[in-house]
Amino acid sequence: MTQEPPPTDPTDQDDTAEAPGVEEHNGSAEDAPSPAIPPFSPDRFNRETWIDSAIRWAMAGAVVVVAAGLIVFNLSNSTVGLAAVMLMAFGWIGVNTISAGVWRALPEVTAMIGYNPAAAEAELAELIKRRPLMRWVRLMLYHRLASIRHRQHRFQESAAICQAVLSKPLGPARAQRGPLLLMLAEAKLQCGDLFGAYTALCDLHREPQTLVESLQRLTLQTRYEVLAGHDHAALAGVRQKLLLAELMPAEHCGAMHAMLTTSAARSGQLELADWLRRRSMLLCSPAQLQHLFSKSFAIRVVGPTER
Amino acid sequence: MSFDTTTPRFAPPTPEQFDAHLRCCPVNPPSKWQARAPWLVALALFALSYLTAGPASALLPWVALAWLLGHSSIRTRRALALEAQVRRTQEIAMLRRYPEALRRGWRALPRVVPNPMLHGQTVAMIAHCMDTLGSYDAAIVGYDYLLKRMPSGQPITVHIGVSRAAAVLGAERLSDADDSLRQLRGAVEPFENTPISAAYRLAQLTQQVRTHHFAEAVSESTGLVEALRPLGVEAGYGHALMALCHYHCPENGPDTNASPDAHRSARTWWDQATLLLPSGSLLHRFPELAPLTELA
Repeated sequence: MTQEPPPTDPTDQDDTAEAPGVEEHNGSAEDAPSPAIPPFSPDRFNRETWIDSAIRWAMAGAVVVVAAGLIVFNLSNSTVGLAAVMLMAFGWIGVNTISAGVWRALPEVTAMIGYNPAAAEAELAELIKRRPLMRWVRLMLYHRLASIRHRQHRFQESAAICQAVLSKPLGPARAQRGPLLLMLAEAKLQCGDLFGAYTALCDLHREPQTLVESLQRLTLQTRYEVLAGHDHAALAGVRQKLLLAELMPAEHCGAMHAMLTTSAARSGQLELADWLRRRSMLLCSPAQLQHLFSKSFAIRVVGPTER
Repeated sequence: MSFDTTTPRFAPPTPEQFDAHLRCCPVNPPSKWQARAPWLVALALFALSYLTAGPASALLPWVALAWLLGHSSIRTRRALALEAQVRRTQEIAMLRRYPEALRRGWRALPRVVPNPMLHGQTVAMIAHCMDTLGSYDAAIVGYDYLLKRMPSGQPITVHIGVSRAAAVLGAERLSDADDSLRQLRGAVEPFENTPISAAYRLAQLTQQVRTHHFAEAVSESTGLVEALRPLGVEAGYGHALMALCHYHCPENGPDTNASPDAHRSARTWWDQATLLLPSGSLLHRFPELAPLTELA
């Protein structure tokens, strides 16, 4: 959809060690440890996925053993054989029904994240306890957990979950790779980790994206470029970027203008900077602009209702 | 929808055509028995395997299992493909390629009838495209269709109601528009500082311009910039209409000698409008803004 060049490597600049004024992560009132789901631990996450796999492989093994037994003992035409086949079939369907039930419950959890994250987390805690789950279904549960942590401004945990989920093959949920990378990039920016954000943005350029995801990536990439001091990269194709920014919600569109104003002013393009500043003042309220400039353009673009 | 082969002119569908299309493609989700059919087929195959003897008896349970897995896999793939198709059409509309989005949505409508959510999204997108293309009466048909079927009080329902009121204004049905806007006043209040309230404010301003209540619009202009802000660059339409109100305001309008002040205010609003949107877009949607081009 949008084909702007990938972000410039932060190591090209010497001012990338720390982004000034990044939003303090793990610092809000919502950061209190949740009673529903304990803080994310990669070990526990790996253990859960391993147990799921082990149960499913054990079941597959049982199917093979039973099938071999039917052939060896010539029971395939008997009532016992039919009963064994039906048991296997219904057992397999029953195991998959657990995953299907969890999958059907996910949209409700996703919607709940927007207006009641605590209830969403409690529901998610119940779903995570179920097993065996297909791996991709469990990964999607952790994706929603990352969304909740992201909303709670627990960006380090959110980034850790995204990285853990992205390290596994997503299988049928591979379309979620883009939203996960977007969340990771935003969490890294919020934590002031420009190199981590750069890596996530580079990975994003290799993913197919919807228009909305492309717009989110454009905002995050511009924010990264402005924070890293890559003003010329930020201003490359500025007219095209502004046309795309106009498709965003007003606040995000105003934030894009404010970021580009900073880059234009720093690179001496004063006329462009003035034009962008006047537009940003119409698109954002003075309070919003003040917040954007004081928090290094910390505007949340990744919402809780991903695909 | 008609395409003249001799000239590349595009004509949006008429209200009658859209109404007929909606009647032809009503929401038709699969019945309970249709949903259970694959399971019934599988059960029948299992039963048959019990009743028969020989190799068929051993084979039929596996056939039933393969049938269930295959059927659910194909059904899921079809549903995902349809969803992707509707999303792509919505993206084309977002990119303001309205004729193409309208054409794709129109063709997709018969295929989305089993899915009420996709059906509603497609009808809303078609209505929005027709609204933007100036085919207001046809857009109203779509909005009415949705409003009859959606729960009242939901944000999306209120938003569609506001869009409908704006379309009614566009169709110059001023009396109907007045009724619609009055009915929506209470529903819009909970959505302060959102695109819904901003769209409602723009519709009110449009009504004041269309009914030549310029002085009233000017007197109520305090906080207009903040009220329209959630519309993003489309707030420019509101700024342009306020410029027109200042331009025509009877107290200091162009006919009086006090016009320099009026022109200064009008020019300020017009500059803000053209900062957000090109004057061509403003004039395309509101041709009555033409006199303001002299201010530039």
